[in-house]
Amino acid sequence: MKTLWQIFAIARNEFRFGLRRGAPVVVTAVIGLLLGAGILMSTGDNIQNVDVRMQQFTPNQVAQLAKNGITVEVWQFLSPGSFADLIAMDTTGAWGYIYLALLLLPIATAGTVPADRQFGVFELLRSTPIDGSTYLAGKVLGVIGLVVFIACFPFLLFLVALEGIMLKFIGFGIPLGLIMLHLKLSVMDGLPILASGAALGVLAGVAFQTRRKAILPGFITGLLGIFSWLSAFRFPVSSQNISDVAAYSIFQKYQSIWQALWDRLFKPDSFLSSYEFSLVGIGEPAVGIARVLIMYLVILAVLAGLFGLARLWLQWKENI
Amino acid sequence: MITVSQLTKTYGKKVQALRGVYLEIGSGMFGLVGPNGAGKTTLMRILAGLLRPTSGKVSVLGNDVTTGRGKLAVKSVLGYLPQELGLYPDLTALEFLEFVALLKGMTDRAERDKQINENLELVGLTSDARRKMRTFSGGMKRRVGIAQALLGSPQLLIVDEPTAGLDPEERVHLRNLLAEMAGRCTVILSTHIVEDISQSCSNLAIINMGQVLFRGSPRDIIENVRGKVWQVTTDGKRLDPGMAIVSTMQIQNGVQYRLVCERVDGWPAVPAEPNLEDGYIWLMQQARINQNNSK
Repeated sequence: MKTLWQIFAIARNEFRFGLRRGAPVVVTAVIGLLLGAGILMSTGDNIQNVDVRMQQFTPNQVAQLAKNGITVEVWQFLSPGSFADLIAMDTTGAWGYIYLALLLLPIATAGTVPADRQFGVFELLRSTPIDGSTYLAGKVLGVIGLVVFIACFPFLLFLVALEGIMLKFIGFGIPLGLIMLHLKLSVMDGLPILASGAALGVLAGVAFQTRRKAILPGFITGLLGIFSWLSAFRFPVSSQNISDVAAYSIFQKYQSIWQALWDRLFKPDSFLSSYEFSLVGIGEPAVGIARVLIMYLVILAVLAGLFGLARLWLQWKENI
Repeated sequence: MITVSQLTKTYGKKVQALRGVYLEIGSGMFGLVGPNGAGKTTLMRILAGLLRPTSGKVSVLGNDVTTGRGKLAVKSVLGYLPQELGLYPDLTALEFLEFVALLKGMTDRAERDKQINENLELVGLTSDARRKMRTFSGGMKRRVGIAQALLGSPQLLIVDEPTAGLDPEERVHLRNLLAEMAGRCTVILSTHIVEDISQSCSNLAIINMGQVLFRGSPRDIIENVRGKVWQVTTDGKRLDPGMAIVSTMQIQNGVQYRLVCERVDGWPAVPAEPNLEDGYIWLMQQARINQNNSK
């Protein structure tokens, strides 16, 4: 019980400290500016083509696409020449965007432990009856909590933007079911990636004295994270335009895995119908629950291994 | 009771911070004095379970701090104020103290709040408790450090250079506070300011170059130097800088020196009443002579 309180204290402190330093505002503002700038730069041309594009679909198809958050090239700036899938914030992963989290988050979070050294608090913390595992667990949970909290703001920003775009160009607002779908997919798809990216960074930065020195290891960890993730969970993709399609396909396939898990657990009777809103889900072979569990286990095993290494380092170098 | 025997600590291959230290520390307030780089902080860190000794035995309140279990046991009854105290600048003093209290295992909220408020009052920070610590002066930060060290009613309080950065009034207040704490637990005070020790410690050790030069009471040190403290008044002429001058004071029509040495040749010298600082200077002087002789 005492250990849980200690973990809670460290996590809450990390969370609070991150908030006070304005991280949510900065991240949301950057994403907002990116999206806003993209819309301003590209939407005009795209919108001119919307009617032409829409003519390629029947009204029912357009309505169906819109209900599923799929519009036509409105956000083309992120995905030249392809559909712009607006399902949830994390669906930016359709362009490989979410995988940037695996690269960027470790850079941002690698300084978590070095910051304690830099502020001169580490020696004080070491004098309290906490062990290395408690300290690391608190740090990792705090950072994950902060990252998830921050992610809520771009998510809301996304919903507002989507609502505006749909009202203006398609004529009706976001159905409640679609909002729930966005939320569900964000939780299923986005959080594991965000959490893994954040945790990887914390563990990679343990050995470094200053936040600045932890940037490079964070970057390297991020790169390794992306390649490991994709190589572990990707499906074969064949396309002429591999750079545009690869991340999209991988993400959609990954999303299908999550969807399969979700359906297996919560909607066993409507398993097949749930693939209606997955662009590549229809006609794809169903993903077995064992595969999903293996994916979970692989992620957890990798993180646990890194956690163990970081723990050993703290024990060896810091006597904690 | 704290016992240290044959304690050594080497950083890397060359820097020997502690060289076979033997020490016994009982209850009450114990002073650890020595010049910068003497090994005081290293010894404090080992006693607090923060640093692994290279060799030797350390028992703190019956726990062997070289083992994981013993280390945690010591930390659970420890109050520690490090020399280089850092605080989270974006937290308030109240939040920081609550954070440390939880880390110390104070899970009962009512007890935690009570102690935090008491300690804030004790260090005179009640009215500033909700201010972010980035706005605190050096002295205020030090006081937050004291308040956190006192959380959890520690049985052992280790304070490393606690008066650094404090103004004279704050120093006196802190010394009184530590002396009061010494009635309830063992307090180890490390400093290079002899005055801090002379005002509050009944026992002390002088450490230099990783070795204990002296272990006893302030009175013992003073007696040790009795008859070797002199006052010399000149008409403005300067003494040989090689002489062990403790203090120099400009007076009307001359300069008054206080010296610590066996005898003063060539100057009119008057014996003076020794104090702790004289005793400390004398011991350090003797240590230097011994070191030179051994070379």
